[in-house]
Amino acid sequence: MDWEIFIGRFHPLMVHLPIGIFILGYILEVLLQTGFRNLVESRKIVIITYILGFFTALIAALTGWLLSHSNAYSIQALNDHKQLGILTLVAMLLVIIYQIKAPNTKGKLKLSGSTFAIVLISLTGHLGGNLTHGSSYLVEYGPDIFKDDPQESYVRLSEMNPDSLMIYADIIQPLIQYRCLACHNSEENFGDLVLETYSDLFKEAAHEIPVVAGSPERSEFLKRVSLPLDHEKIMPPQKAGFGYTDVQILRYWIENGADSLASFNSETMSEELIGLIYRDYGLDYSPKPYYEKIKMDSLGEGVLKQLKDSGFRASYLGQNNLLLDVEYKGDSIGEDQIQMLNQVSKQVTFLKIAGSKLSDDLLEQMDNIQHLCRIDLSNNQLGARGIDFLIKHPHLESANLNNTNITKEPLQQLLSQPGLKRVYVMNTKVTAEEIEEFRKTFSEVEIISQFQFEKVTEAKSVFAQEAKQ
Amino acid sequence: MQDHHHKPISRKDFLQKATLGLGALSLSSLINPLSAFGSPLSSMTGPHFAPKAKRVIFLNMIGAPSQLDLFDYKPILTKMHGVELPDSVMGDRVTASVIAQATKPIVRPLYEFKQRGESGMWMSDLMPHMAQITDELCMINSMYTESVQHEPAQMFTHTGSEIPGRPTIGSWISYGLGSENENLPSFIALMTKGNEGGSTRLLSSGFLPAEYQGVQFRSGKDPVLFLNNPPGVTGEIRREQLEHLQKLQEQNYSTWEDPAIKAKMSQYEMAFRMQTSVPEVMNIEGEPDHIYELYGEDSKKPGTFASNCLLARRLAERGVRFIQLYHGDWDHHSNLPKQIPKRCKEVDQASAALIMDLKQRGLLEDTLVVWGGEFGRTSFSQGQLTKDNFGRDHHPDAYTMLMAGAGIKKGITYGATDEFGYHITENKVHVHDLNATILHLLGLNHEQLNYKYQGRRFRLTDVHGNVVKDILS
Repeated sequence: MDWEIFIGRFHPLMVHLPIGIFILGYILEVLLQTGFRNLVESRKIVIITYILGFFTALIAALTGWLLSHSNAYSIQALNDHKQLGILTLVAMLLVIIYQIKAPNTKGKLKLSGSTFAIVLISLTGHLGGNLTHGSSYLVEYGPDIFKDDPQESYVRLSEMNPDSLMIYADIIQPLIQYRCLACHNSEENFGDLVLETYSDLFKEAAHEIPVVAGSPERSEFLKRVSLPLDHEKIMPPQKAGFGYTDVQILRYWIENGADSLASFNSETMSEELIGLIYRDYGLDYSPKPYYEKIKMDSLGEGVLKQLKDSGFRASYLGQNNLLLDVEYKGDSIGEDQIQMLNQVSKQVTFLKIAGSKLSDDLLEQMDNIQHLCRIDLSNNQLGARGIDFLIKHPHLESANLNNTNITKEPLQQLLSQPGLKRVYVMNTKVTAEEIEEFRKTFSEVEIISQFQFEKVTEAKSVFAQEAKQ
Repeated sequence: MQDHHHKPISRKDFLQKATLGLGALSLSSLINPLSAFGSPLSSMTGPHFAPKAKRVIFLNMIGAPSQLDLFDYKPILTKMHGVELPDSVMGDRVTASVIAQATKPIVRPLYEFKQRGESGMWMSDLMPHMAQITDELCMINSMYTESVQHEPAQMFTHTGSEIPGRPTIGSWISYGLGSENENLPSFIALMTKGNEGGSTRLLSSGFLPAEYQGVQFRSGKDPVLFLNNPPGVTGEIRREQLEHLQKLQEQNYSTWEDPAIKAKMSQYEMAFRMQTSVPEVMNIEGEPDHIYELYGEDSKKPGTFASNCLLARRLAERGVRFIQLYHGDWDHHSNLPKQIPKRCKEVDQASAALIMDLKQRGLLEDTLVVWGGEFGRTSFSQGQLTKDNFGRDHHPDAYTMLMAGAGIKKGITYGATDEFGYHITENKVHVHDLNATILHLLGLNHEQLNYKYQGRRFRLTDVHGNVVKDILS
């Protein structure tokens, strides 16, 4: 049994007495002042009520002081409440003494003194309420203008470059600061847990380790913030806990090593997490194709013009993406053009040389195109050696070989390339049966050949069917 | 002395700049007379970021097809066929023509719906060919728009404003991206002969320079009006004429420095090149039989929707940025049972064929196809529901659009409506959102693609629009 706290817990009960009684006294004083002499005949009743109020306030303050030892509240908010409470007591006492000792001063002056005391009582009471229920309790269901702006963090993060965002510094640390630090700081370390610095997260507290890098299951911190809301051990205890998105971010961060410099990586994120972060923080982590990840310097204007003069159409992918999309516009390509292309091959990611009499021999003169993602070589007399060129390109995702002389074996070689997503083989030397077979073996590659509709029969309307019956 | 109206600086620009000091003005115009004030005729320099799509084919179903008979399957309509639509379903927004109606009997979809493909997307038997390619499609069942009348709703879909005068989406795109083929306009429209539906108002470049307006290609021997030389004028004569004109215009330009002179010359040159390129692209005789088979019998008849679909592919192959197809007569206020099968027969196979032809050629890698009308239709009958006849009224609060191709998730149904198909219950997509998404796929940020006119920067999406990320692949 702990007498201090037992008695202390009567504080929330006791505080209502001085508030009620003092306000009653104030009402009486107002009546007296505004001339309801038939109701309130003398100031004595006012003073007696105030004295009664003061004594109950004294009891409330004492129980409050006992309760403050229970370590259940954040220090800053508690101090504010405590100091304002003491000030209120003093003000009440002064009001009483003034009313007794100076009976002849003007009533209005007395009333303004009492009004000041009432304001102090209200403020102290409000701070006390915040301590118990949390600062958002009062206006939680009120008009929006009273609430903290939830959009603020959204706007701040959504303006960042997703690649430069650091999970700990930009999301987790602010969360801890806002939701945990009031109780888990070096002055006031509930459950012996301090969360002031990054390294604190890994220090054992009350036989549990808050964060175990790589192991969400063993991380007490994650466990406690993701408990059901009505669980007695959920953290933070008094206000709304971590949101679902934040819990998932925390889990992701811990799973991936809980590094202080860690950032999000589309490849290791679940589709759900990507969606949640986009919804709640406006950050887009949907997986980027290879060609969006490469940073390049721009080519000189001269080179682009030369390329154009040799019969190519070439353009950068975008204002911020300086890889090239190149297409040969002529109907017959030669060694000169290939040489020209070789000069810019480092920059090329999409290449189209279709219907240009491109041969295996010419293709062999072409340099490796490091960042090649898509190639369209359709309508050329290409054979097996064309495939030898293609399989040298690890980032190739799409190859258009329509109307070429490609056969089964080289195609099989190409299909075995990891990363390849689409191959076009309409009108080649590969038969329909072979394509069917490949579709089964290489299910992750879309093999596209000539499309035909199934025969359709004319649909009958319900009315027509009913008319028949 | 020269007339100040012909300076490349407008009066307003002059007054604005003059307040900054005449010294600065003369210095900046000395360095570069055009760039000092921003040439109004220069287009942007390509996409803002790496695009998924390089071009768009928009299959416009003018008159608004009934989403409830084709795409958005609502079994309760069958169960409650003929029953009065509960007032509770209607909500606040009721049009005058609906109020005027004495009864509002629910009408069932006329044709059977089935789940199709691996995706299990619902589609009516009215679209037997589209039903075979559902795994390529993204069906948005949660479209909504502003206007309940055709003309403003079409204008809204095209320009983001119900009132004519703003640039249409194709103009914005060619302004933003420029051309991939200097021999053809970057924005071309094809309309079904005898059932055009669309109007040239929908091709207007508004306040954007006229070179970005849509050019309508007609069926028959004169696809582009006033393009051919007059009888007796040969190509050589025309060339000579143009070169002489060029010299005169250059003199003119050195005097007036009016960028419109250059624009005009480039248009003359384009027209000259089009005298060769247009007949080439419009001549579909060289297409193999299996292609005609794919697009259907109609595709051999010039001017049909099917033939226009085939032409759209040929234009896409040649790098045209924005290709609008129009097919009208979807406005089935009455006689829907007789009319809708006819329209479907005209567009179903060709639309599906276009998507699959683009796909088999590898063009769907960077071509976006959009299919739909200006709004939807009501779940109750307009006018009397008889044993074999009914109609459906305009309904802007929920309708369906289809998308396929570059950057779009395949085989998904996005958004949902209530059980009567009346209100959207999930993932609303406004026309501004759709347009923002189309621009996004083309590598354009819809908030950055703007043009200053009459003192204000204008956008296709006005001050609205969110990219629908959920449907992007």
